[in-house]
Amino acid sequence: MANTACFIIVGRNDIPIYEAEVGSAPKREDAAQLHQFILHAALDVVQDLAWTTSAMFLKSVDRFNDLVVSVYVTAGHILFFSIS
Amino acid sequence: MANYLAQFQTIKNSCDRIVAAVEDVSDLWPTVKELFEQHQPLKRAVLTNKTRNPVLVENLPVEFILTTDARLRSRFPHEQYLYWFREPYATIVLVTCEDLDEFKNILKPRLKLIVQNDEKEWFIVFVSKAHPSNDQATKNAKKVYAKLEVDFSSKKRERCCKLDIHGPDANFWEDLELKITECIRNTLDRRVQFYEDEIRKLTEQRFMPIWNFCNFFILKESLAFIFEIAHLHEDALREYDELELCYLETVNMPGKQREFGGFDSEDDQAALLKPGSKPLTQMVHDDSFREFDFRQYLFACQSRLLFKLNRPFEVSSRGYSFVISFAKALTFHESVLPFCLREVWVLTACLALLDATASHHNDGIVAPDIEKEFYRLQGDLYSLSRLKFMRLGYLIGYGTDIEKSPLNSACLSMLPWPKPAVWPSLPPDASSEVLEKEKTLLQATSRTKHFGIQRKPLPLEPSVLLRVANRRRASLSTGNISEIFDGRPGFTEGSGLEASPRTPSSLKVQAAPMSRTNSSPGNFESPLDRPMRLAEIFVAAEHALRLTISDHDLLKTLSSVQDFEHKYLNLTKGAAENYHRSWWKRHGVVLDGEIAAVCFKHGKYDLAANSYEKVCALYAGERWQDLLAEVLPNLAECQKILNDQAGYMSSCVRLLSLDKSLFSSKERQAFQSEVVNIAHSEMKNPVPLDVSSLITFSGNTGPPLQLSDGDPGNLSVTVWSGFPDDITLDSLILDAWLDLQDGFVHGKSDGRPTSTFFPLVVSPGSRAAVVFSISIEKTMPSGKDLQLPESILNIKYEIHGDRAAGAHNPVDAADHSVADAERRDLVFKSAIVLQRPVLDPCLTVGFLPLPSDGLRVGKLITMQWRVERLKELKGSESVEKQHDEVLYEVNANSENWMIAGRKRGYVSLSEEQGSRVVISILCVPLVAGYVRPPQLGLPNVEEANVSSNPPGPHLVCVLPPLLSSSYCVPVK
Repeated sequence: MANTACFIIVGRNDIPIYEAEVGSAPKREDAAQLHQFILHAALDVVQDLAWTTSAMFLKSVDRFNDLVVSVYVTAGHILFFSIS
Repeated sequence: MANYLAQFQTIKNSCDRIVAAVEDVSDLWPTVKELFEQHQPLKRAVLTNKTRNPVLVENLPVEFILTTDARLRSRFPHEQYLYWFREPYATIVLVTCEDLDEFKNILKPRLKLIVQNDEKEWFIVFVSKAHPSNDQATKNAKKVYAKLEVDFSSKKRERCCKLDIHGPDANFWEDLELKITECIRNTLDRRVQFYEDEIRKLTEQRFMPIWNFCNFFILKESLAFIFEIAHLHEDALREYDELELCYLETVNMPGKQREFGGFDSEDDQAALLKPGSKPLTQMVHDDSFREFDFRQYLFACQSRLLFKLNRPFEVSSRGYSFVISFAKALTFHESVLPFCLREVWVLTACLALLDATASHHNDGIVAPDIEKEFYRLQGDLYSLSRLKFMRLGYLIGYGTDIEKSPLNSACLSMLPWPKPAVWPSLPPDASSEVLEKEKTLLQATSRTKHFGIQRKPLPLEPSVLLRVANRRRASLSTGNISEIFDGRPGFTEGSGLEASPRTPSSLKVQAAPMSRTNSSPGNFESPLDRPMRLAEIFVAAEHALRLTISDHDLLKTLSSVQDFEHKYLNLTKGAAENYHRSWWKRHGVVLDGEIAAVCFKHGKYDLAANSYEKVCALYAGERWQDLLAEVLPNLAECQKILNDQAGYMSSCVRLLSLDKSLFSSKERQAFQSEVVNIAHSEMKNPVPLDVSSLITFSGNTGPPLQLSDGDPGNLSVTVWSGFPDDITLDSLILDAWLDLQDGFVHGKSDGRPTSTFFPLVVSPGSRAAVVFSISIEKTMPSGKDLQLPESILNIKYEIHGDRAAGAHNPVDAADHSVADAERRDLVFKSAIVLQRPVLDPCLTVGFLPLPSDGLRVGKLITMQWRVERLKELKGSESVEKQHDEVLYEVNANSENWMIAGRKRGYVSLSEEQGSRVVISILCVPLVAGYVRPPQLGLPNVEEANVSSNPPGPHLVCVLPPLLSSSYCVPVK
């Protein structure tokens, strides 16, 4: 899954509003679900982190073995998650 | 070096507090020893830390040792510098004398001799044995003490204090504490300075060939120890931190191959909290220490200090990072280390950290955010140990007992397999174990999902274990490996075990190609010649793990499925509990779901349902539908078994209301048939079911309906169904009323229920009529400021249940008060314009027929109305100024029509009966379809005096535009 990434926009109240699996490598069938699971769990980290910094790009907020979750938080608290 | 290190460690271990030497000049110690020791430890000692700042140390213990004691006398001078931390920090000279001459001639020269050593920090305690009643003796003692002070104290430093054994000692102990503290502080400063100088010298040489880490270590640790016994723990910790940095620098220096370690017995058990678990001499190799042992030793020293500083949180936080970074080092050396040593080490390290930090942690002592972070770290440690424990269990064949949940799959399927140089092979006498394991695998039945959900189980393997294990066996040729996998249909990377042992059909697929290389399935004599089977891999791993794991308790947890599950549950619960405490609700709830899976397996369906409820509520609340779709069927299954019909039906409805792509139509039909079956069965206690997410009502859109006298008003209601199959509605329960526009009143004056028929039950497929009796308001105000220009038909219908808790989009509850939150009436409103009947027609307006070729978008058309006077106007009846002119106004929806020319103006119309005029307007239709044509109104004439033809609103048909040739592309 090295060459694939998952991109999710999470709106207010932690509701996912957009999701895309991108990348050229052949995808594992279950990748989307696992990615969603990982990103949903990462909301716990973001909720703690987002209010401790004025930076909008929180870089790597969580790691899951080789996968790195990074997040960009807009001023309106919309989260742009990516996992790669 | 080894001897030196051994000696160093022994000496260090034998010394745990600051020593003060007692020079007992007058044989007083036996008399005062008890008193001195009673006043220990020093209550408030102000010492200087490394940065030369005063630090208040409370309760500093000091050990008093006579200078004649063997421990002090036997030391050689050179040892004093090497192990300076154990040398006395203060010398207390105990004297007594009641005769001034004796003092001058004997005692004073002796004392001078004792205190002449500059390096000693000393002071004199003069003990007066004189009884208060004996005036002479008291006077003599005072005289001697006064002389003593003159001879030994100076302006700079007070060196004497006086203890009256029989008299009041109010200030003595305070004075003594100050003097001891002063000595300790000075000695400490000098020693710290000495060590720092030495360390600096050595640090400067650290890139030279002669440099030896062990020497550096001894100096650094001696300094750390000096701080530690002076209770300057912060400074001691800093020394160890610096030592660690320096060590990592030497270890990572390129070009030098060093022994890593990890081969001693019990090395699998993490020693990161036990500094004394292994003697230093056992860690040393060449001029440095083995990384495996020494990094753990350093961490143990650091954590010991952190516990003394009462910071268990920091032990957790540093510990977690240490485990992660140390695991990386273990991965680097994995090929030479015992099988799965990394996994076992990480597991035991996490458990050790959890044990130690939990016992040192007291709720409420630290700030809330630190406490929250502490629990989060505990949760992380539990999670990590849970992961490693699952991996070990999987390797020995307990994979069938691990739930294939998103959490477990995400953990395990992304974690690479261990990479030993050679995969463990099967011991010769293991055939019975293999048979047993095979039997277990065959018996493990796959739990089919409720509703017949056909979903591929999530993987627990990063890659196929069968393939990885066989590939790593030295004796196996690649040809054999490919033989295993040839002809396995639908075999994909990552699907792993879950495709194999659960279903007998896939086992057959596995067994078939193997039989080609192993004709007799019971023959396990020479497994090296052929690829190992899964059961053999499990048994081989189990044997190898028994060699790796030295902890009997851990071995026991892996000895049977029941033990494995017990420990697995403990770790999961620990993780869940701590994450909940840290307010990481998502992590906590997801782990609750894992606990639920175990409960379900053991038939504790009520517990399982409770936990699954939480998971579903979390995902539904945040609308992560994919994740909800994974767990909601589990909840539904529990509810069905528990005969919780209301819950079960509600879960089925929630499943139906999820995104359609998440389940096949067959599965969705299964959900519906469950709802229908239960709804149609004779339930003992009928329950209301909220299907609002699946059944939606909507009224007609567009402009409000306009009704004239005698018009039947048809209100169309559209019902949207989200059910995959046809669903029969028994009835709609309505309650309806009409809010009338100005100028109309209800037949009955109350305005609301017009009959006793409400609530009205409407059967599906039938048409329902609601008759409202309305009359014209006699006293219609003449002003044009109308309060209500339209009548509103209100239809109220009921929805039972809580729409906010469903799987669908929650209804905005902001408008509802708390009181009616449980039972919410939904109302939809439809506007109707009632037209007053023409009672006294004076004028008639007729809409003239349109051209026979119809209307077309974009085509100019003339609309015509004929206005005719039906009777002569009398006096002030209508028109204000000129009776022969009529004001007209054309109203048209600008989205549908473009009007050319004047929309409003006066036309001349004679006052005579029968006079007529035609009003023409040029207009262009803009949209195709049935649209309402422009309307001609006469604003100055009362509506009751105008008769229209057609009487009410009507529609005309507009055709789409003709194709324009200029837009056509010629076809080649």
